[in-house]
Amino acid sequence: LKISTDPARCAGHGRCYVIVPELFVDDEHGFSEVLSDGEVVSEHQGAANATVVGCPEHAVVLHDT
Amino acid sequence: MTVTTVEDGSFRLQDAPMTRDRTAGWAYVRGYGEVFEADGAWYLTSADVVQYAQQHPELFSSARAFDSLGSPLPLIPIAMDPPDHVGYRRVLDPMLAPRVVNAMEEELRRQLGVLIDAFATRGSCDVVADFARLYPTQVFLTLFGLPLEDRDRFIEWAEFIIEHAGVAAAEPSEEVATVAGELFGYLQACVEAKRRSPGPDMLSRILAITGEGAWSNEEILGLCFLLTLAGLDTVTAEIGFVLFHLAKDADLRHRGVADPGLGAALVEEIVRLEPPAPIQPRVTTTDVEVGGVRIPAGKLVNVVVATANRDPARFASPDVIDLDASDRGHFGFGGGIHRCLGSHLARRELRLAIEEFHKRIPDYELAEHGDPEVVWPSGTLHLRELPLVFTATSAT
Repeated sequence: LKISTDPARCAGHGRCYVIVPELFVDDEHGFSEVLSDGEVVSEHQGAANATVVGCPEHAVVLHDT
Repeated sequence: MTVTTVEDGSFRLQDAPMTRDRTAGWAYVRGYGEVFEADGAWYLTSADVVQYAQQHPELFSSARAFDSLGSPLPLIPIAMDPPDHVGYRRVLDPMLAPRVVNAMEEELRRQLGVLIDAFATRGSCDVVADFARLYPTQVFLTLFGLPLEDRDRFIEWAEFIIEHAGVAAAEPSEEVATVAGELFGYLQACVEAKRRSPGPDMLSRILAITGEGAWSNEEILGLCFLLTLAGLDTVTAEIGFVLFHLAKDADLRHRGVADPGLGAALVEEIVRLEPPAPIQPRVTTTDVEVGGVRIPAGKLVNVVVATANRDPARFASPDVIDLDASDRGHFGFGGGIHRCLGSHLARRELRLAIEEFHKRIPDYELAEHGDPEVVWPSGTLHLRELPLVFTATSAT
């Protein structure tokens, strides 16, 4: 699984990097950046799903690689 | 088919039974449908239509939606549309980003300690008057590098304007305009002082921008005015709601005190249920179809984030605090391009307030039977007062 954000939708709520700092980091503007290549290891899968639900803009997307 | 125009006058926002019970109050509003027209405005109430409006600023304009606040200058960036809005946010977002907030944390904790120590030895307090009114203004003054001694007159101006400016009034009253003028005079003097001797604060950083991107005096004052109105009484209100729910619910309080790490979850859930800015105004730029309903151009639209936050289609157990479900994304800080500029700071202010309060006052209760009243109708939903009793700490 890979995780990514839709920059057209991301509004900088900052939920994703709070919920799962292993996958996202805040940038200088407080918007999110996906760490490394967005690969979601199995131990982070639950948290990754939580960011999909937790993003108020529905900007976080999980997809099969 | 939902009736979309309430013509018999049965819906009036001020009639929502909000005073003691927001669950009943917001159910009243939601009960008229997800999109309806009543009492001179349109209302968007479900999560889907609220989100649609937030994500389509080209259809739901902010530019003319905030006239009632009495600002003679454009309120930057809340009352702006794309493309102008983008440039302002690009400058402002980094000034209120999490990494900036991190650097303020120690100073904010220190100030919280002073404020809470002042009443911790008394065994009782009014959270609103003794704590919640004071702290957010201090944070603003700290952010802007202004003297904390200006706190009390600042609070008076901001409270008067908020109290007397209606949610959807078309024109500011003469009194509001007068007080707004006084606040502008003060802010203008602050700007001039910072131009002479800049510091490491946000105001100095904006003044330091030169060349094509430099801000005019009007732009800077417009921003200051907005931050005063948007950043102070909202956090004041929310501190009241957070401590109210903790005081009312012993299990929740004991859980929160035992595990300070739950502070962030508490903040999310209580902002979701008790958003201090429950309604955000917009004006349609063209005929818009939303939720299967056509809203004509040029209409005032009240985007009700409070009902969206309790939409059963989006949230399981929508009307209760569930710390284990605090990750559910809500609309309490708005959304889309106008997502609350101060959301990262506000979340931190609230979490630190809970932590520092609990360090000094780990157990407390409502001083009176029955829930305290909120002021309604009001642009910012807030408790009038919140009297608490607790075991006094011994003076050290």
